[in-house]
This record gives sequence, structure tokens and C-alpha cells, in this order.
Amino acid sequence: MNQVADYLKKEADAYPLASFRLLFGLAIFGTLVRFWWNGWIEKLYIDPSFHFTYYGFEWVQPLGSATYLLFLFCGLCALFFALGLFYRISSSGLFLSFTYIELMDKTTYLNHYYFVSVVLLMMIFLPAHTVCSLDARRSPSAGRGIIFKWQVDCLKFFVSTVYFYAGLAKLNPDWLLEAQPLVTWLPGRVDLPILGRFMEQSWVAYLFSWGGAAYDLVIPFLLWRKEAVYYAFIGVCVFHVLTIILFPIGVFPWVMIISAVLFFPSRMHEKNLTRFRWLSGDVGTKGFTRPIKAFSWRMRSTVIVLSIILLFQILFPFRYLYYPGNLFWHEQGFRFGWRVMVMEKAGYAQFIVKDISSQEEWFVQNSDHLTPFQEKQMSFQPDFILEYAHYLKEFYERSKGHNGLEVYVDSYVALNGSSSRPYVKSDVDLTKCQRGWRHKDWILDFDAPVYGL
Amino acid sequence: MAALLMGAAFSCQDSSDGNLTSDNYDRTHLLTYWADSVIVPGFSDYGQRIDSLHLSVTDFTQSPTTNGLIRVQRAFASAYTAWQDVSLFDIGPADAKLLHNHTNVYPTDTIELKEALMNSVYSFDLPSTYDIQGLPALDFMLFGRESLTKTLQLFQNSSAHRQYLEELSSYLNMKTQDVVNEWVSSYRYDFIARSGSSASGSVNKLANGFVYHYEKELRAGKVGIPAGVFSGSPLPNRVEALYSDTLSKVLLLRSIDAHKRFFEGISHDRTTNGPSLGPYLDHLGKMRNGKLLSSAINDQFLIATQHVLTLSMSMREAVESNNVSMLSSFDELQKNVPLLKVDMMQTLNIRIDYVDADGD
Repeated sequence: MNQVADYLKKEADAYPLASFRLLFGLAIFGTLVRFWWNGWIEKLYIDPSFHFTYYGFEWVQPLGSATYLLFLFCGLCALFFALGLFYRISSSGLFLSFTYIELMDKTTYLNHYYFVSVVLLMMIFLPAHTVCSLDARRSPSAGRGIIFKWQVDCLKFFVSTVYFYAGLAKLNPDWLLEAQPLVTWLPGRVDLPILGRFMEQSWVAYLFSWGGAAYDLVIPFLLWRKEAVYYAFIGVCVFHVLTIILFPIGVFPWVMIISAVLFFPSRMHEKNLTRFRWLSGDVGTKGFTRPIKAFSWRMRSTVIVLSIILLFQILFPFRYLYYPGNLFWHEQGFRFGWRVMVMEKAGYAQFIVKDISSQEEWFVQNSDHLTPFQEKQMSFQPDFILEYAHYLKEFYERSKGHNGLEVYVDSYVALNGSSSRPYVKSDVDLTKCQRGWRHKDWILDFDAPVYGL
Repeated sequence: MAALLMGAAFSCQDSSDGNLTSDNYDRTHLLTYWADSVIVPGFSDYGQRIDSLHLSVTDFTQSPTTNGLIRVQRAFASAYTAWQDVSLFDIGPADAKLLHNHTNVYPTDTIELKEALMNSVYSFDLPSTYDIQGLPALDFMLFGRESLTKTLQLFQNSSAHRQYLEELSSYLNMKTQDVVNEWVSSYRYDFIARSGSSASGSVNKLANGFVYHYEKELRAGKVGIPAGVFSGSPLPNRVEALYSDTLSKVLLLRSIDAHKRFFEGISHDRTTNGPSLGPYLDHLGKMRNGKLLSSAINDQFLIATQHVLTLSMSMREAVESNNVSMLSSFDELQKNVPLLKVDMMQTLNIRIDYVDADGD
């Protein structure tokens, strides 16, 4: 217990956290601009007539054309956050608006958006604005060059968890023994200059698979070691730049490179941040004020909140153990677990609506209801399939004017280079199945004998 | 077959692994072959047929005779058949100039068409006129009466009908030649130059267009919708070439064949086997249930063709009198959708969503 108390009293420089705040905020701002620029707000949130929701968050819906205002608000918060202006408010606003955007449609789920949300949630409780910030300039009394060590460590711990779990997720036979999915993905990049001609070589896929797994498992430990951190950072850059070249991966590499900056010793941050002296005026000098008392009521509750967040991060990815069968196949407990680029999966789902009263049945043209992107994501993820089936029931009951329609699906999914095989039991009326945490026993086993096609 | 064997040989080489000698699939070669041996010859051929159709229409509208009408009808059937060879290449100029919308939106809206024809107020540029122009509108104009004599009389007696017919064919000809010329003069080079694997790369776009066309135009449009698969009850009036009647099955068979030939890498003049999606799959050594995936897909094309052959010559009649065989044809066409859309696209690492979105 004493050790814990001692650790909680340890002090650290405020600079690493401040640099991180600045870079991270700008990266988010860049992401939002890119999203807007590419027309994705329209395409992903305004055009679709139906949105896939997260269980428990069905009430989070796009706001029509006001969705642009939401992005505008989020972007402004990101800028204020980066500059360290009205930090508590801007960080809270940024977390809430960014997370709201992510919850609007799970078609766009990406691990790195989730990563950003979790980091932002933690940042609300961390003093990242005490140096090199407009807040420090506004009220010099708020400026502190010293913060608690745990206030940086908790973020570093979270980043380490992400890497380590991403590495654990790669320790499966497909990844290690078959080099899947890289052996499927890489040959598509034969057009790359210089690297291209190696892309169809299977040893390259194996090298990248094993190298990637080793990288994820080892890099967090190297980053923590003072004598290795610079080499580790070079490794981080090489790895993530390679992923930028090979895959359409968005901002994820930048976010991870920025996160590695947290591990740098503080003198380096201080040196770099002197360029941003104009932000905070002269108050950026270190050590002019002591940290607030370690065991204030506020500090205690912050420690508790952050501990809960981290504990949740440690445990939640393991919820998949509760479900029988192949995780990659049924995807129950797959998301929010740092399973990044670990599988290649594609599917095809032909829905059939049956009207018992008139003995009619008809096929659904998915393009009548979903965008191509939504259709693609829906066709191999069971929770999407179920939600869509319920939507179809409602849709056709409204247009038919009577209830009691049943919805079935004839679906095929191919995983990691295996041939496509039947996915959902085609004789199950999906409208009778409910969303939730319970095991979805209407998904066929991965190892079920292949029949029909 | 030669391509298949070659592909198989390649894939054997691949599985020996580890050495630097195994060949990468030459996408530039693939695109050059597609452009020069399949697509451009296909469009040129179609363009010539549309041009002859237009010439025969011009002759006919100047002096409406029985022989003239028969010539127009024949030219029409030949052009409609040739359209099946190129409609699956809905990219580049065809996509930009909305060739499909101006050529083959059916069923044609006969009430609106008659209105437009009588009042002479219409512009084929407008999306609202897609369903009163193109080949389906010509189909109605040329075959919409009970007999050849009645059709002839109509054109002899009504200058409005002659004028509308003339404008239909001249507009279609203009649109078509635009697309053909652009393919020949510039887009061919663009097409080949885009050998990358992004969503805007030619392999990606053409493969996506091919799968989309197979699923939407062939499987659903030509068979599923008239058979009532998507509505619960049969819709015989939704068949392609409704008025020329027996042409409908010819068009369906030709369309299946066009998809099959493209997939297999058979040139437009049917003399050469070259690279294409099927050989590409073989090159990657993709198997399914103990045989090559490409063979599984080819076999399924053949099975579907056999089912379609049992239909009566008129698809409308098939729907009305023997819809069970329509439904079984649909089922066989359906079976290739997951193979193409899931297995093939995944193996070729082509994203199906036509959107350059992020992944992780």
C-alpha cells in the first residue's frame, strides 16, 4: 500500500503530456478536415437512409445536415484542445462530439477511432494544459511545470496495452502458419515501386506476419526503457510508414507515431516546445509551481476513474472467451479488442422476406436500402445482419400495411483465404432473434461441413 | 483452355515458394489485352451495328417500305445483341456519358413515350426521358403492333412516328459513337496507365463493374425481376426486349456468354485466349473444394446457360406459363454471385465497396 502511495506522489515533467496534447489535437483536427474534404460526411452519415447502431446506443443518430455542425464543433474543440484553451471544456467537448460521431454508424468502426475516443476520455482527467498552452497564458497561476508521474504513465500504459493486445491477436495459426491475411493482401500491391515485385513472394508475407507480431509484442517494452526509446521510436516510424505504403489505413499510423512521443524523456519535449513559447508566454518554465496536494479528494477520484478505465481496457477484450467457436468467424467479442488487420473477411447476404398470410416471398435488393459500403460491412458481421433483418421487417410491414413478416438470409462468408461457405442458418427467422450479449446460436459453425455451394 | 493450363503451371510454380523467380501477374499486360482485344473491338463492333441501324432507320423514314422495315428490325436485333457484349464495361466514357441510361432502361414507359411523340416535346438529355429512349423504346416502336403490316401502316401514315424513330436512332448513335471514339482516341491509354490497385485502378473498376453488372443487370434485371423474385409475384412485362419477344432469350444467352468470355479471357473475335479474371485466379492458385475456383465459376456459367436453354423462346411466355424454370434459371445464376463477389474479389484483393474508405 505504501508503495502505491509513494508511486502516486512521484513527480514528472509536464512537457511530454503537453507535446502529446498539441500533436494529438492537431492530428484529430486533420482527420476531421480530411473527412469533410473527401465528402465522407455526406456519403457516410447523410446519404444512407438507414444506419447501423451500437447495442445500447440506438439513440445516437446522424443529425441530417446539422451533422456538418457537429463536425465543425468537433473540429473547433480539437483546435482549442491542441492549443490548450479552456482545456477542461474543450477536452470534454472533443471527447463527446468525437465519440458521438463514431457511434452514429458502426459501419465506419475502426480500432483507431476507438483508440482516439479512449485517449480523449482519459485526457479530460489529465493536466495536459499546464504548460505550453493558452490556458497557462490566460491565468499564470494555473501553469505548472510539474505534474504527477502517473498522469503520464496511465496514457503510456494504455498505448502499451493496445500494442500488446494487437500482438496477442496475431498469435493464431492463420497469421503465423499461413501468413493470412497478408498473403492475400500483399499480392494486390505488385504495382508499388521497388517493393512491388516482392509482394507476391510468400516469404515476404511470412516475414511481415512474424515481424508484425513481434513488433507489437515487444515495442511497448522497448518504449518504456530509457536507453532504448530512440531506437524504439525509429522502429515505430518504420513500421507505421510501411503500413501507410501498403494499406489504406487512414490516420492510424500517425496517431500511433504521435503516441510514441509520450515515451520521450522530458528534456527533449522541453527543447521542442520552446518554439511554442508564444503559446503560453514565459510561464512555460519548469518547476515554478509545485503540484497540488497528492491526496486531495479530486486527485483520489481521478485516480479511481482512470484505474477503472484501464481495468476495463485490460478485461473487455477478453469477453470473447465467453462465446464458443471461432472468434474471427462469429465476431462475438471481436470489436474493441485491438484486433487490427488480423483477418480478411468478405461475405454475401441475400435476404428473403416471407409473408405468411399471402404465401408470398421475395428477395431483397440490398442496394435499395444500403450504401455499397454498408452492404459490404453488413454481409459478414452477424450483428449487422440481425439489425438489418429487423429493419427489413419494419420497412416491408410499413409498405405492406400488415404485420407478421418473416426475414431469412442466405449468406456466404469467406475468411482468410478459405472458400466462401454458408454463414447464417438459412431456416432461422431472424426477426425472432434479439440483439444483445447472448451467444448468437443462429450462426453456423466455421467447421460445419460445406454443403450446397 | 490453354490459359487455364498456363495458369495452373504458374500456380504450381508459386506453391514451390521462397524463390525470387515466381512471376507477378502483369497488370499492364492484362489491361492492354482487355482494351485491345476485348473492350475496344467490342465497342467498335457495337458502334458499327448502331450506325447501320441508324442508316436503315434513315432510309426507312424517308421511304417506309416493308423491306425497309424488315431491314430496320434486323439491324435492331443485331445491335441489341451486340450491346450485351459491351454493357458490362460500364466504366470510363460509357460511365461518364451514362451510356447505359441512354441505351437500355426498360421497361419503356409507353404512355409517356406516346405523349412525347405526339407533342414533340422531349429532350433525350434529361434523366426523365431515360425510359422513353434507347433500345427498349426502339423495341416498342418497331415491334409494338400486332403485325408487320400494322407497324408499316403506322409509319406510313404518321410523320410524328417517323420523326420519333429517326430521333431515337440518331441520338443513340451519337451517344454510342461518342463513347467508341473516346475509347479509341484517349481512354484506352488512360485505362492501361491506371494499373494500380487503388479503387480508381482499372482492374479494380472493371472487376467491380463486371460483378455489379452480373448481379444487377443479368441476374436481377433479365431474370429475377420478371420472374417475381424481388416482388413476390411474376412481372412478365419487365422482360428485356418485351415487344420483339423471342429476342429476349437470345439477349439473355448472349449476356451470360459475354460475362463468361470476359471472365475466361476470350477475345472479342473469339480467336484468342488471354489474361483475365479467371486466369488471374489460376495464377494465384485459388482452389475451391478441390478444383480451381475459375473452373467452379465457369461450370456455374455453363449450368446456368443450360437452364436458360430450356426456357421458351419468349421470356414473357416463360414467366407466364412456366415460371418454375425461370426461377431455377435464377437460382443457377444466383449461385455464381457469392463465387464472384466474395471468393474472386477476395482472392484478387479487390475491394467491393467502390469507396476509398479507410481500413484498419
